[in-house]
Amino acid sequence: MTDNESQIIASVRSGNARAYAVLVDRYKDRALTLAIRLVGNRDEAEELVQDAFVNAYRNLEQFRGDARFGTWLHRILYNLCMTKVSRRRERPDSLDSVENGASVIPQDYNGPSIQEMVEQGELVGMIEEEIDRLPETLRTPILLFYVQEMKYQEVAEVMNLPMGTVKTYLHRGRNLLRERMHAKLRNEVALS
Amino acid sequence: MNTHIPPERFLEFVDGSLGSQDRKNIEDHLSSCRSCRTAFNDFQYLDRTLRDSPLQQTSRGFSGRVMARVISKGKEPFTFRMLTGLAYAFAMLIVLVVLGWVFVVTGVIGLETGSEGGSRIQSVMDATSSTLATTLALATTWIREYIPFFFGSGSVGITATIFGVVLMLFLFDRIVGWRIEGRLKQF
Repeated sequence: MTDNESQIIASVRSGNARAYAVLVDRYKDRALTLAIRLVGNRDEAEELVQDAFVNAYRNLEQFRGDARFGTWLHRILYNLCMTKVSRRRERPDSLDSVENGASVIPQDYNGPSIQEMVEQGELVGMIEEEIDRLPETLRTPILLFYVQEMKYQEVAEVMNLPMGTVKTYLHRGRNLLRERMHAKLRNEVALS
Repeated sequence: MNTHIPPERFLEFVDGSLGSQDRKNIEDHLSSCRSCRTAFNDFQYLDRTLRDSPLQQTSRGFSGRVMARVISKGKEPFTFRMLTGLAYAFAMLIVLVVLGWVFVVTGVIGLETGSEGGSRIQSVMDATSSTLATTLALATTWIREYIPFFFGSGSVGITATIFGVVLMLFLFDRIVGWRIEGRLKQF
């Protein structure tokens, strides 16, 4: 936690609730970006981000300060989003089914890279779509690591997983993204 | 290095956490293996694109709405929260009394003086009503004796009574409530 952040939290704890606005402004966009990707609906995501900020404020006494406030907030938000998502569907995505169905790029692949194909087809936005199609277990670590710029340890804290598992999920997520991008781009090139 | 580079090593290669020998091995391999070079380019491209993903902007007034909820939680007076708690307790008591009354009327709970359970319930009810009546009588006597204007007639008496009650609630909230909350936080 930065010195500035710990000062703000100390001020809020001592009764200056308005100081909390600095933390809200600092983390709201990152939190919303994660929530939209997890629940898939902007209005619901914004409600959940609001709830996460209010819950974090209400439980600020329990925040020990050995991690960044952002990590703690994202953990609260992640749990809220997962509760919301799990209410919608009974069975979570199975990683096995995803892996069995994915096209595997051969080790001796000699075709063009994603960048070469994307530049040909101008299909930059499709990565975003492919992230949304990833199963939640692989999507969340990718979002936290890249978009939220968290370290492995922080991702592990948010998802309540061992760090090794987070690294594995990140690796699988990247591979799956790459495979799907190749499959999609090959189709685009074949159709054009 | 003849075998292909495991993709999970690319991140270590990029963030500089590899030793100099491992780094050189990977560089040599990348310069000679098109397949790994493509995989590495893909990794770098995905890495860069993901990091550059634009953040979503919250709607106008988002921070204000959060702060309104935060401040309303923080400033809720102790008296209000205490009275809310008492209201819940009182509501539950009413439900229990109504349920008990329904059970007695429908005969689920018997109050025949002959039965052992019935006479026990009867004695508990008698003791409760007697205690309540005594407490109310004592409280009324105390109020009549020490706060005479409480029962005063006319606008002055009523105004003074209302003012006194509001003042007492305010003082209770500021002094007693604050102290009790401080003690509770220590636990």
